[in-house]
Amino acid sequence: MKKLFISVLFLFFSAVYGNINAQGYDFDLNDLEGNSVKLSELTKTGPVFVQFWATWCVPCKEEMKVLNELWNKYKDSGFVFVAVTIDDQKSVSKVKPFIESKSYKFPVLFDTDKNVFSNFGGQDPPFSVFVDRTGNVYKTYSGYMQGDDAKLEGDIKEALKIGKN
Amino acid sequence: MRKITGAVLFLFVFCISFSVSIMAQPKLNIKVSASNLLRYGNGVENSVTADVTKKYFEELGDVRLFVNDFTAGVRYEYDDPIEFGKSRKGITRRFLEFKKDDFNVRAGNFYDIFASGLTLNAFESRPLGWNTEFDGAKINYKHSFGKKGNIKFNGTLIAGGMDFVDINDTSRTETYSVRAGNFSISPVKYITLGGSYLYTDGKIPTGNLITDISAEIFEGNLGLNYKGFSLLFSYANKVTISQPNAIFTQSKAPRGDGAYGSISYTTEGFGITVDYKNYRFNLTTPDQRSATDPFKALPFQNAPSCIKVYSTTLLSRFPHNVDFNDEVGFQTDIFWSPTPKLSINANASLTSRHYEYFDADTTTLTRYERIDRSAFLPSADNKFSPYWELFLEAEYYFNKNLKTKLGVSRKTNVLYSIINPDASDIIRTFTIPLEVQYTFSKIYGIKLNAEFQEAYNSLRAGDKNFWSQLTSLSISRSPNLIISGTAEFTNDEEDPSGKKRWIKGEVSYKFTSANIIMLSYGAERGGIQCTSGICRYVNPFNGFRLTLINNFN
Repeated sequence: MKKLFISVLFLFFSAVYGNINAQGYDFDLNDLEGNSVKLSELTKTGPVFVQFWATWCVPCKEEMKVLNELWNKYKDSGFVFVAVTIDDQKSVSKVKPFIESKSYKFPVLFDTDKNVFSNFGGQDPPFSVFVDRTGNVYKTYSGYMQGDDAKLEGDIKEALKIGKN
Repeated sequence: MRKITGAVLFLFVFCISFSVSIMAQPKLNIKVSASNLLRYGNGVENSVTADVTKKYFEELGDVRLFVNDFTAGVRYEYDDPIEFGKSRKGITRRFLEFKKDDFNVRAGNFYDIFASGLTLNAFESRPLGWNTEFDGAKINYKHSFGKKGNIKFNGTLIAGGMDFVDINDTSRTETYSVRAGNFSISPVKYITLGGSYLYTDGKIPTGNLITDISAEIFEGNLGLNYKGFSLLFSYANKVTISQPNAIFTQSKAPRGDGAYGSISYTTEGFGITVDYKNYRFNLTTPDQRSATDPFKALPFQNAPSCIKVYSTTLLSRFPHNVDFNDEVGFQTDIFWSPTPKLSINANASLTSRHYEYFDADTTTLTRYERIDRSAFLPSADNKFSPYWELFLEAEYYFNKNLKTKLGVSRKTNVLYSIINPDASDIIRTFTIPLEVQYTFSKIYGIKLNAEFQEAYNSLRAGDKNFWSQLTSLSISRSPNLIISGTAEFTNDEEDPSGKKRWIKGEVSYKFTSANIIMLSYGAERGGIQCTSGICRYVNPFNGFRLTLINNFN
């Protein structure tokens, strides 16, 4: 009975409070060239979509392909996209070869100890947070499915609009 | 005692830091983030000998509070019981972190990784029941020096304790007290030099007997990064001292070492990585190999496995269990996108033990001796327990809505038996995975996964050759619904579950973009599951599972 109660309670919270706007925090991670990149610096350009991914995560790479297209489409309007890899020591050496082979140009950052990932509440990739210009987490995403590109594009348009007001 | 010390330290750092912060920063900026994972399962675990009722309930709630430069985090866990491992109830994780400019200090629970993990790589894998979490304190400082800030320094100090539960015998708990430091410095843009030192006192149980050990690990590493080339090399040396007891009547202090290197080259549309490993943390004769050996690589030492990580079911079956005490090998991985529509991934790896051994005693006793050789490269000879794999996969986008992926894999894994070579465990597989994905009406999608595998298992009493086939079909409606069905068949007469067919249905529904409920009902084949080269056997399961993932950001 207790288990059922806890389950129902969380279902209720999921449905009702799933869209609460709170905030993550500022992070400072290294990019592929070893340069330090701060979230608070990125938000000066515009809303930042932070995708947590790994080379062994298939849906992450599908989502990344879509986000790359959207980034190319909206980057001149102020949309910022960063891909934060949570690859650990077993696969981190493959990150740069994978990114270069796809000719992706967006910033890729390393979070090998998954500290930033867990501070944003990430459990499994793909996991993403959309951070607005003021540093607030505007939206959180768990998982990726076919057809999500339309929804993501809508969210990007909305975030760009919010920032201008 | 350690828990009390940890709690006192935690409270002390909290009070001091909070007081200083409040005085210095009168304006409070408070934010909260929370996440939750709820898992429930009810069914039957199958094995050849018996079917056992299996029920589990796991509830993990994480809350993080951000107050100016502070982050406080708490995990509440309620297992009744846990699916695998030791059930826990109550506050199982708490930390307080202070971050200001280049300085970061954390008290409480934490994970960390030093360089490539030869010295330290603490992490949690809940499906395996693996957890090398520290309880203590961590300080990190990173700073850029020089006129243009091009000299970079990064240093970390940690001190803490760890209770490590053996995933293959959950009644065994090893305890460690660790003091360690790690630094890296980049004097010029293309070069990074680093090193780490770790000291630990540990208690390693073998049955009712506990062996007290102390160990020291020194590690040095070098990184070069110039245009498309990247190189990393890391070497660690470990000495372990055991105290005399009934098993070790005299104090011993054997040395072990490990090396890892990777070199990669990238250019537009192409990337290649070659990884090399040479782990010799505890080279022993075949009769001395044991998970309770106090001289083994310690549980928080987890270096790169240098084998391919697969994402599909049959490719992941029959994995290789990495032995960090005695393994040498390499892996080559290539990504190539000749056109924007076509991507190719190729992988080849070979790994083995360093030496072969022979019985040097001509009487009825056994005394193994190794046959020396230059052991910088692996051997494909069965006497070295080799593992090798070849993998090739091509992904092609016909258009924006239609994608297909086709692969081919060949793997061989040998566990050599020196007592009876004919009883060696040899597994060979040939696998073809196929995926077709089509998106229609903008939000509706369909995905088909089909895998076919031919396998040979030398330990099968009857037919050693058998096949397995897995088909999975899923239909999705973006952004919130996925319905899928999976069917797996085999002609293996000796599968541990005693079955030849496993059928499962699954529904996943998103309440919001980060709140998901997943329900599944049916049979799962089980098998050996691995993360970072660490493996455990997962029993076949038939029943109902519920997973609820919440993120309240």
